Amino acid sequence: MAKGDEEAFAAFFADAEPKLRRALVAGYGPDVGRDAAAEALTLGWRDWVRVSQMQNPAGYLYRAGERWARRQKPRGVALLAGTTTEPLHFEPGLESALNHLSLRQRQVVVLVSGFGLSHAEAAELLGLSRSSIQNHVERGMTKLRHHLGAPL
Amino acid sequence: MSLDQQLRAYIDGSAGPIELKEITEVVHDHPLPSPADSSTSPSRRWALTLAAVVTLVVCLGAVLLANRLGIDNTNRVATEPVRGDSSLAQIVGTWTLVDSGSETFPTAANDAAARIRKVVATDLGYFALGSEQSDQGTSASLWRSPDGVDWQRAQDQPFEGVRAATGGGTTSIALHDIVKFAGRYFLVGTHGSGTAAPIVYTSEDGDTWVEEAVTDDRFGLLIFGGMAATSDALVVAANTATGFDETDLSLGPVLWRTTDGISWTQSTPETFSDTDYIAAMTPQGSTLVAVGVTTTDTTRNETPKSKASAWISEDDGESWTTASMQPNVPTLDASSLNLVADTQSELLLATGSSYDLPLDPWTAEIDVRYWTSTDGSTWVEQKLDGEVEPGALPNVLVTDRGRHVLTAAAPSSDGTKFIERFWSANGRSKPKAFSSPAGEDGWLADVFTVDGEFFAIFETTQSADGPSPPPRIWRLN
Repeated sequence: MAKGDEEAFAAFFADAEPKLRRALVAGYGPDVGRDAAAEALTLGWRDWVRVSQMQNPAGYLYRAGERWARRQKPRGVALLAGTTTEPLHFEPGLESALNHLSLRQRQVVVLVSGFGLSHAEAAELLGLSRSSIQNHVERGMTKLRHHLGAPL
Repeated sequence: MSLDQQLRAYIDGSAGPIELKEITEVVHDHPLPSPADSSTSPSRRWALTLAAVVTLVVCLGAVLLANRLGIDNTNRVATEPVRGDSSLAQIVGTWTLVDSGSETFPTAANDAAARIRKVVATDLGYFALGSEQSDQGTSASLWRSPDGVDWQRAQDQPFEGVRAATGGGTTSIALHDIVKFAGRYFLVGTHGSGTAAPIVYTSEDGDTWVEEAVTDDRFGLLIFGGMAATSDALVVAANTATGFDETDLSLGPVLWRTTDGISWTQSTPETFSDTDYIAAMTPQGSTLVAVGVTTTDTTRNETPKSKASAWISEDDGESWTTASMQPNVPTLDASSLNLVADTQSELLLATGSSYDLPLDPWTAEIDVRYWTSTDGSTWVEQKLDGEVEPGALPNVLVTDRGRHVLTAAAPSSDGTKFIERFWSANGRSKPKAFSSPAGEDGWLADVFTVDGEFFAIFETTQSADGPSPPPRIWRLN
């Protein structure tokens, strides 16, 4: 890969890695989600010349990661498995509360409410409309607060 | 701490950042061949892999056995009859939407979305195994149909989720298969991770289902491997981990067996080791046949290897022997393995995908593998001619009256989505024969046959504006 391409990928990586990882971890859990993000980014690195020409490289890699993650996870099971072993810096019931959200709601809530992505950024990454993002944020946060016993 | 801060702490705390060098250094260690190399050795492509987990995934394959009626010469699928060394059937038809839309699979709640995992043909008609997803959560669900087109929710839906051991949430039961044994119908499912256990319901009429006590054990992980019956026993296979932490997560098959449909025994036959993974199981006469993979190297980020394996039991699942299925496949994707037995041709057929190490499921030239066997002990890999689209992954293998169809997910030309396509095995480069309406992204839930006609259930992913669209039924014309 040419030096210029490597630098371009590094710049892309710095911006896209957190979004891809957080979206996929929120959707498919820490283990599968992080691996899926790594797989997707590897695809991007290997095929950067082609990927860089796409209108939405991060969105493309998200779809690739999602595809990979789906193949690892049977549908219909809880997506977050309670594997966190680090000292808790969040409510003990947060993980359980997140499990009450749909996959898309979890992703949108994490990206928008947790990490401050704009509705447009989240929509572009996940392939959804802004109105759909708004809908997921509202419903997701309502359910999250409800299950945490937090004020609405 | 605010909720926003907690979300950040939870996500980043459970899955830390990926370093750039994790991506670039490994790829540098395994560079792609030059185009010239590729033309002379198209399968030699290398990429980063994290594929040690690949043997842990659920088998996506379907096991649909044909009924024994005569060949319907009115169907419009051009096929080649299966012979001992046969290739798969060619499909030249087109697919048309046949269902009525949102009410095709009725749900209990208006805002729930049906999701179909598998369609099973029985002498009671057709059963669709799946789930209903709503804001209230996901619950397993069952539908019935006399013809594969008109579906009704089964009267009795006792498939309540269980509370996860690792959290406060309720995990849904995943339904996998229905098999008739000893005059009753056995529906097998599994609880989700953390409280994993096999769960079996029985019914005499397909409407009323009663949970059977199979085991009190709970497993840290359980991945369904198959359910099959001979005339004298019913066997459920799963791949399990007995522990709940990472120090004891080695997988190994566990079998549950009943000879009367009431009392179950749990066993781990010595034939199986914790590197074996059962992906599918079927009867062939009085013999039970299972196929799967055996992992030979699970070193993360190194060169994970697994080979196709087959096992047979000639004493109704009590003891098993290992058959050498395919020693030369470099690495096999367990999630792609399918196994069917065709009663007319008396052939066992298995498909899967293999790849040169390491795995790259999107762009690597994955070899679709196809084996046949007459007895489960000796397998012959059939040569598949023609080009294969990069990244094509086998999904479903269907056999009906001596005709066999392999489907695969193939990436679209611009790489932005995967589209399910039907492939003939001896002509994998045949044009696309199926896609969702307007090329929507989604996946093929299953393929089944009704009186010689092929039907497909396609699920599209969540639409841009609104709830998830319902599964749609397509028929091959």
